[in-house]
Amino acid sequence: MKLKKYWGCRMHSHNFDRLLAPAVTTVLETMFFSEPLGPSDPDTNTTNLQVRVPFSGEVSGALEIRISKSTARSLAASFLGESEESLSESQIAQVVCELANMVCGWIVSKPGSQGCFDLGSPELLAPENQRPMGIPASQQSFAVENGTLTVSLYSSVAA
Amino acid sequence: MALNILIVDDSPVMRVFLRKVVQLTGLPVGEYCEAGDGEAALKTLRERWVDLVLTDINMPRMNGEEFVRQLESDELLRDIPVIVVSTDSSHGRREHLLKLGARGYISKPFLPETLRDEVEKVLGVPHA
Repeated sequence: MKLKKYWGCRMHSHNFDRLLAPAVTTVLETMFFSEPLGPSDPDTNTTNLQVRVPFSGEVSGALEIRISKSTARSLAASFLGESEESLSESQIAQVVCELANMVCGWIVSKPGSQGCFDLGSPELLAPENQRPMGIPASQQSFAVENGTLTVSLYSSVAA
Repeated sequence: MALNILIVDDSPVMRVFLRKVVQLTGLPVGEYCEAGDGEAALKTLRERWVDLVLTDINMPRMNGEEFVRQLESDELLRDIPVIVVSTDSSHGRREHLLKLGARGYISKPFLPETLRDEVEKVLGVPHA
């Protein structure tokens, strides 16, 4: 599939805008026994974890989740039913990948979103690769336990 | 009757999570086994007695779709019920997997009750 050469197309961004908050709320409440505490400013700390999930379909793109390490540890502990101290960095990263995967899946496969999609594998971005992909079609930040969770959705139209 | 359950997912933390959710459902479980992809799952099914398979779709080497297809084409294995557990909640994907031979389909995120209901529906009897 050919994609336009740039990221950041704002097509259908209004649809994504209205889906981000319910996606995060549903996933956190159902699988992490947590919830967003309200909107927040993005946390640009470079020690944050960042995960990218590519998707392709009528509209293709990627969803990125950026989360503070302390929040990631706390959510991973809830998800796995383990104590925070017992978790390895690798387990925490895998849980953030699952979080991103579920939020992305929830958004792109909603009836009335942009049709049929294939999801790629979530990828944990190394700090040197944590550059913005362009202007996100939609971006929202949420205050969560111990920190901030930012969801950015980049889209590009199939040529 | 205690169920032997095979959990197929390339994410180790998702396999742990699924095992814990199964425990929360109160379903009687005899033994858990795990596989990281469809190929490993087929190998396990040829070596061990399994009553139920929970499988992801997106996996390396052999994905869940191909796994269900191969299971269906194997006379010895085709009666083992498979429930797909996926982030894809689209109607099209669900119908496609059920048509290939999966007996059930659960979209993530889901509650333990959803898993329990789907297992009981697929196995045809309540497992108290």
